[in-house]
Amino acid sequence: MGQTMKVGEGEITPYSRSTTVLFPGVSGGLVWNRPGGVIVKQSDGSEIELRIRDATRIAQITLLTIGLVGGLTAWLFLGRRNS
Amino acid sequence: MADKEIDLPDIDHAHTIVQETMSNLIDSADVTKVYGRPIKQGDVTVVPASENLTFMGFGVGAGGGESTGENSGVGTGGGGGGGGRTLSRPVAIIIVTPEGAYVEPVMDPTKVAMAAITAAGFMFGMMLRMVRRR
Repeated sequence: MGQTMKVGEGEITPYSRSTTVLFPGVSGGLVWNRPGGVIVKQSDGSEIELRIRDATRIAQITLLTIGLVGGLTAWLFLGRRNS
Repeated sequence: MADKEIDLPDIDHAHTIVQETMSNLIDSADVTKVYGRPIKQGDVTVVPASENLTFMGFGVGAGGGESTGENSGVGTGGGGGGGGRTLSRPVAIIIVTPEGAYVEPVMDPTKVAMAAITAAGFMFGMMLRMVRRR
C-alpha cells in the first residue's frame, strides 16, 4: 500500500504489486514493480477500487497469441491437407 | 607439492559491496517506485503510474597457485564483475477530478506494433512453409 493522498474532499491510496526473484547460487536477482490499482475514498465515506490494467501488455499478449494460434492452425490444417 | 599456505586476496570487501547492492535491489520493491508525485493543476490531480523491472548479477572470485618447477613461485589473483539494468515504462495515469477518479491507460504503440509484426511474421512464415511443400 502506498501513501494516502488527500485529493479534494476525498482520498486516494495507490497500491502496487511486486515480484522479487533471487537467483540461487549466484549473487543476482530481479525486482519487478508494477501498479496494482487505486483505492478511492470519496467524501461520503464510500470506497471504490480502480484496477490499473496494462493496456500495452494486454495488446502484446493478445497479438502474440493470435499469431501463435493462427500459425499453428495453418500448420495443422494445411499440413494435414498436404500429407 | 609444498605444504606452504597460499595467501589469497581479501575479497571480503567486494562481498560486502555485493551484499549491500543486493540489499538495495530487494529494497527497491516498493510502491513509491511505481507511482510518481501527484501533479495538481487547478481542480485536477494527475498521478503517473509506471512499471519498473530491475535485474542485476554479480560475481566475485579469487584463486592462487604454486609452481614447483625450475622457475618456482606463488601467484594469486582475484577479481569480480557485475551488471544490471532497469527498465521503466509508463502504464497508466490516475486522474482525480472533483467529479471522481478514473484511470487512463498509456499505450505504447511501438511495442504493440512490434508484437503485431512478430505475430504476422510467424503466421506468414508458417503459411509459406505449407505452400512450399505442395
